[in-house]
Order: sequence, then structure tokens, then C-alpha cells
Amino acid sequence: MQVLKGIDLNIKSGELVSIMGSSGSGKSTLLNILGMLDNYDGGSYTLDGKLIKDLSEKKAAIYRSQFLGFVFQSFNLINFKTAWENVSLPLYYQKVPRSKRKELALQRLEEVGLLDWAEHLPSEMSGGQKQRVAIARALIADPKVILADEPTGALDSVTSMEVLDLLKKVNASGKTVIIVTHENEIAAETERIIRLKDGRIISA
Amino acid sequence: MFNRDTWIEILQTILKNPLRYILTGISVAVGIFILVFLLGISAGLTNGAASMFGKIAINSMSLETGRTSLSYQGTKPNRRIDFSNYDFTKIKTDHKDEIPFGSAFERIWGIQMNWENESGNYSLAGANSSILELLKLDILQGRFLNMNDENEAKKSVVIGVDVYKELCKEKEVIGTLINIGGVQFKIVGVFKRGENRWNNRRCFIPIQTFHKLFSPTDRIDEFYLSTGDLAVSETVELEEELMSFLQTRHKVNPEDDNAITTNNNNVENAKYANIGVGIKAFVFVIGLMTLVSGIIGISNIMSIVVKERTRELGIRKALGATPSKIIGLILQESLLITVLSGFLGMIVGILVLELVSYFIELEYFKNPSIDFNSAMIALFILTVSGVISGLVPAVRAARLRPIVALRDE
Repeated sequence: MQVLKGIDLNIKSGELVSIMGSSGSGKSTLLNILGMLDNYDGGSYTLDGKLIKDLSEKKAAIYRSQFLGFVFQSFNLINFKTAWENVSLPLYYQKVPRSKRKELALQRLEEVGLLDWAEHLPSEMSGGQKQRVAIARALIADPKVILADEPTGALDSVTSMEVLDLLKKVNASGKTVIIVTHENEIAAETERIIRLKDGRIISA
Repeated sequence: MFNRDTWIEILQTILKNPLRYILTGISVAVGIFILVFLLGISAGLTNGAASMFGKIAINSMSLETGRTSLSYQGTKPNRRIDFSNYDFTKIKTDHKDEIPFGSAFERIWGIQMNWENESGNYSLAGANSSILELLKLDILQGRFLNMNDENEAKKSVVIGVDVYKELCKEKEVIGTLINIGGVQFKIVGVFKRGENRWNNRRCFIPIQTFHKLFSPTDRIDEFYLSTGDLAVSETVELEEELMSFLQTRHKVNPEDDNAITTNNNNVENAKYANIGVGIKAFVFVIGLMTLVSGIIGISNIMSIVVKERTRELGIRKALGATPSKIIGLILQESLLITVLSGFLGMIVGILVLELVSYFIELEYFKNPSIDFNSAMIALFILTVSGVISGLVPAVRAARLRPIVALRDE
């Protein structure tokens, strides 16, 4: 089944954009392709000058860890790992030694204001805290792009704004941030809103 | 693949989720325990059979006299049969191609013996020097009787190890004199035959000396005959020929099973050898089935583990884990679990065998331990089965597309 029907989109380095659309509009599919989590059949996708198409699993894994940081609606933290261990996991796959990983992870946790929670498990934290851990994790490998899939979908409005502020801070530090959301107030905070409907861009 | 960081990661995963790994581990440990236990039991039975034959030459037979139970040619039942020197010489000359050597055997169950100031009652046997080989005696000191002792009917004696301990108090005995039934004998050696105390509370003197001093006739109780390298079937024929010769000569009814009895060790040994092969085949089949079911068990549990961890593995992939990293993780986990729990099962198995051998004393069941090689084979099988059982779920985990994994709620 064809989900995306002609997406012509260029996101510049350092942009803060949001992708909006109702369910079935193709926004998740688009994000998955951008995140190299899913393959596509037609067209082309270029990231930082590299054509991302028909990658082997291994290649995709390497690119993902080099270029991308993910933030998910359901946080996707590993429940038996402490906050700092979760944050440091991407570095494990880049063969950074454990002590160095911890040092970097603690730095990131400090940036998101959770240094005191470093040794806590996700189950001991609130939703907002978990999402901040997830953002710290997305940042740890110093990616070029942060992909956030409904990052505030599971949070109340106050926490949502805190998380959004954090993402804006990340963007201000020079990273491209792409947020998929269906909440207008979230989208309104971004520099550019890309609206999808039935697999097409209706405004960008 | 085998660096410290990887192992920390794996150990953490295992320690933080103990229940599922304990379940996996138990199935492996039980499997290996059963395998080790069976191997040990089979070794015990095989060793038992071997030790039963350890005390007699396999390629030999014995003929023993008793009392008749049937009347025959005018004789009454309950008549005592005695073999004689003539019988022995005749058998040896008539069958000199089949019987390389043999020994007569005659005994007194209890006779007074004195050594220095000690005295006691022991069994005395007259035999030929070849009894050494036929009864597999171990010479602990000195020598056994030789042809010279036989030919000159010397008063030489080889004493059993228990006589040596009890009567001679383990002192220097070779060359000293011992008084047996009022006659002075010279001790030329000390022997031991197995652990049986009756065998070791006996002294051997030449049969010629025995006949001269302790027997009014030249009666002989038993013949021990070596069958050389005859096939088992040939020994059965020989046994029948000898039997019929002795029955005719001593006027024994051919139907009489008590007057003369034979014991063909060739046949007995063949029986035990068959049982040994049977036991080994049985253990092999059971062990193999246990292992296969163990492998299927681990594989199944690892599949469930992978399914349960779909989300975690998806996260790992999204964060940059390559398929080979995922395979490595699952494989090394299953390997670690199988080897650790297998080791545990092996050690418990060995301990149980030790307990069994400590508490159970049976003639046909001895030393039920597994040797180093079997243990190594078990360990090797363990490792291989660990890899095999982890392989399928590991590949499945690696193929998992992260997007599917992350959608898994």
C-alpha cells in the first residue's frame, strides 16, 4: 500500500520543524523513513549529503548512531537499566569504554537537570523525567538530527512545555530537531510546520 | 565479541532479569545432571562387571567335585566324587593343544598355623604354580610357588595378605618358618586376591606337598584350566568333552548336575560383555534424548525471551546496535547460561555419584564416577548446545526491524 504520495521536502541544518497530520496522514511513516527505521520503495532521501536508500541493516545501524537521536512518545527506556546507563547506551554501540560513557552520560543528565537521578530506574521516575532522560540519550552521541515522535503525547501540559523548552534549547545548540505531533500548541512553538494529509504535504 | 564491556552488558541483563534465566538454567542443569548421573551409573555397572572378573582369568574354566544326587550303574546317590592326579594328567595330555596350562586345587578349610608366638586358624590350599595366573593373584612380597617347589614337593608356602596382617603382624616374613598343622614351612611370598577376606585368609602350598603331608589319597577338589585363545564356542565344546570324560570315569549319571559342576568363565564374561554393551547403548540413547530435549527447551525459552525483549532489542537497534551485536548478545547470553548451569548440573551430578559410591556397596556396582574425558565431552556438548539453542532466536532477533519492535506494546 502506498502511504506517502509525493513528499518534496527539504529541511536545513539547524532547523526546528514540526510535522503535523491526523492519524493515517503518513506522518509516522515519514518519520520512520527519516529515522532509517523503515525502508522506502520509490524516491530518494538524502541526509547530510548521503543517499539513504536500501541500506544494509548494519549500515543503517551505523548511520543511525552517527546522525540521529530518537525521542519517542513512550520514552522507550530500558526498564532494568538506570538513568545513566540508558543515556549511555548509544555510546556502548560506538565502543566507548564504560567509564568514559558514564562521565558523558552524567554530563548530559546534568544538562537536562537530572544529575541526582542518575542511579534511578525508569520505574522510579515521572513521565516528564523519563522523557528528559530520553532526550539526554538522544543527545549523547552528538547527532546532527533529533527525531521526536510525539514527545509530549504521554505528558500533561505543564510537563509538555518543559520538554518542548528542552528541545528548543537543543535546537539552539545547533541541532536540527524534527518533532512529529498532533498538538497545535506544540507545533506553534516550532519554526516551521509541515502539514500532511493522505500522504501529501498540504502546507510547509 | 569477547571484550569486558560486552560481558558486563550481558551479566547485567542476566542479573537484572533473574527469573527467566533461572528457569532456562534449571532445564540445562537437570539435563546435564541426568547425563552425568547415567554415565556414572553405567561406569559403575561396567566397573562392577570388570571387578567380578578381575579375580579370575577370563579365558579359563573350572571343574569342581560335589556329591551325586542320582543313582547310576548301581551306585547310590550322595556319593562323594574325588578327582585324582590321573584325571588331571589325562585331561592335560588329551587336550594339550587346547589347554596351555592348568592347576589342580585341593583345600583344607581350617588348619592351625603358628608364626613366632602367634597362632590362628586359616585355610590351606594345594595347587600348581599356574594357579597364580588363573586366579589372578597379586604378589605383594617375595614370589609365588614355582616348578622347583612342585617337582621336589618342597615345604614352601605363600601366605594370604590377611594371614600376613593377623598372624605375622606385618613383620618381615620372607624366608621365615611357619608351622602349619604341625609341619614347618618356609614362607616364600605374600599374595592378595581382590578384597574378599576368604580369599586372603588362605595359604598356598604345592599340590604335591599337600598330597604328601595332608591327604591320605591324591584327591583333588577342583581343576582350573586355561583355555588359551579358544573361541567361546570352542570352550563350550571342550567343557562338554571334559564333563563327559569325568562323568564316565567317575560313574556319574549324565543327568546329575551336582556331582561335577563346571564354570566356564569365557561364557560368563561374554554375557557380561553383552550387558555392558547394552548399558552403554541405553545410556547413549537416553543421554542423547535428554540433551535434545534440553536444547529444544533452551531454544524455546530463548525464543520467549527474545519475544519478551522485542521492545528492548528494538530500542537497542534504534540506538545503533548492528545485527551482529544483537546476535552476539543473545548467543553469549544463552552460552553463558548453558555453560554456567551445565557446570552446576555436572558438579551436582558428580557429588551425587560420590554419595552413591560412598553409601552403596554392591559386588556388581563399583566406582560409579565419570572420567575426565566424559566430563570434557559433556562440557563440549553443553557449549555446542548453548550455541545451537541460542542461534535460532538470535537470528530472529537480529532480523527484527526496529520499527516493528518499537511498535510492540
